[in-house]
Amino acid sequence: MLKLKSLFVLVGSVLGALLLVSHAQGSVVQALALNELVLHADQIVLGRVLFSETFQCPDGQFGTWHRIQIEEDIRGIPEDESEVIIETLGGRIGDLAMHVEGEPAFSVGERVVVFMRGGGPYTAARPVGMGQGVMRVRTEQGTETVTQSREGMLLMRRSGRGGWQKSVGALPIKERLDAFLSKVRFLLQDGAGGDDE
Amino acid sequence: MSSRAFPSAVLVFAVFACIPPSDVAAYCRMTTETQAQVGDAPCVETGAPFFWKHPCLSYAIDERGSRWMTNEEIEEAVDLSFETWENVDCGGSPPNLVFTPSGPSTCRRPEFNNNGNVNTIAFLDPWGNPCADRNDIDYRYEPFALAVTIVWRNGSSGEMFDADIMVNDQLSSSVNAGGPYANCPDTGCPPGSAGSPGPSDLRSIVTHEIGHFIGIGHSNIEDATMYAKTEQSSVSNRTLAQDDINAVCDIYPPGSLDQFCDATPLGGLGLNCETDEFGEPVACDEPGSVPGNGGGCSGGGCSAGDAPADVPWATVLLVLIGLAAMRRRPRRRHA
Repeated sequence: MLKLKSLFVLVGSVLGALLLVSHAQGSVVQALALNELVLHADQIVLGRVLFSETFQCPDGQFGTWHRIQIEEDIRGIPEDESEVIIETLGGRIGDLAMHVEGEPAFSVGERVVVFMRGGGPYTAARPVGMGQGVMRVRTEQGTETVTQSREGMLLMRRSGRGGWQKSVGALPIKERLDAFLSKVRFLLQDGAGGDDE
Repeated sequence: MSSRAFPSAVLVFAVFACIPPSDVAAYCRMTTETQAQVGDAPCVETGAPFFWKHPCLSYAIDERGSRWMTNEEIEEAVDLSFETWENVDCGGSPPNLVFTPSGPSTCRRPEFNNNGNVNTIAFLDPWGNPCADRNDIDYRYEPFALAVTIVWRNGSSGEMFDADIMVNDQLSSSVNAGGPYANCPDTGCPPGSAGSPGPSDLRSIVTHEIGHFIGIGHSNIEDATMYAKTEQSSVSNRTLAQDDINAVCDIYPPGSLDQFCDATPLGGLGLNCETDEFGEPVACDEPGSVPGNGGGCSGGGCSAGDAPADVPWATVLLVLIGLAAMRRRPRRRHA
């Protein structure tokens, strides 16, 4: 009887603790799988954020340019380019800020893998799928890992029948950077990225 | 509990408690932190949290509506969504949060300026900033977004000045999110077919977006309206979970606001941001229409803007006109 009671206490403790640490994750955004991120990206780079600067358009909207120093061109970067500019909506100037839920933030000095669309000489690119197109590189115990940025997004996904279904997105859990980049390159070779590669 | 079981239980609890404490958090608050989130923490816990200093707020639906629903259907969905948050029971009293429908508006611009403002809910087809050149990168909103909430706030304190919800009204496709939208039955939205996407429940989408409208971020709790994933067929986001209730009650604890409070936006109410009193289009870059000097976008580095600290006297008349135009509908606010 005592053993049974102890078992209940243990199970109860486990369940209680699990409840406390139950996992989870703004703007309502269609979840993109990795092959879709690759498909819709004109440019893919691994790089380091040099600085971010917010500007104001004549209509009053704010935008922010993030300058990324290219460490590795994975797709679409002209040979002589050493940096790319990524534009996100919103930003802060003085005491006024425009905040767009779901737009990715960048920290100066951090390393990122970015899937971008648009852009070109003298023009900024946009991350694909808002924050989904930004993967953050971290070094943990000597191993470089990559995690997807999903801040401020409610992810949804259309099923083949036209309805929506849950999606884990392109990178549900952190991965080794080298393994992730291999997958991206494989998708590019496999044609997921179109025929310009 | 037996003396033998107790240490084991403590040990098991301690092991699970060693999982990063940030995972324990439920709802999050939106904050002024602009740096990237580091680690696995679900919440950004630095920076000042967003809040409405005077949480008596008006909102207006753009009169051009959506291609998928009638204006009456949209109004019903949006009003019920706001009421869902407003009528929460915070221990016997509602939160100190009042929403007043005004309008309809004529404003698809997510702007904040000195000449009158409106917290607008607009449906955009094409899905882009109507003020920008369609060939310009600044024109495009994220094609895979169904809706975005754009908040104007104080740069350092997190005080919110204006919030606009923009809904992607284009037909959903493989390269574009969007409609159709509907007020789905309580049993869920009907599925679509391969060539014809099923509708999304507008009320579920708007209820989630209103959470951001009042400064709530995402939650860890899967059944919460503010959880970051959902299914199209589900209408469960219409109903707030305890975690959502905790969020709104913590941020806006019961207070003295009632349905007759002054819901005039900062800078005055301006229901029409696109044409002037003579029906002439208001240019997007009209001098003085934006905080600061309007600036320009060349080179990426532009003008600094200041929040409208003092409401110009000239706008007082507009405010009064706006107040007169506000159509206050009876609210179903619970005692």
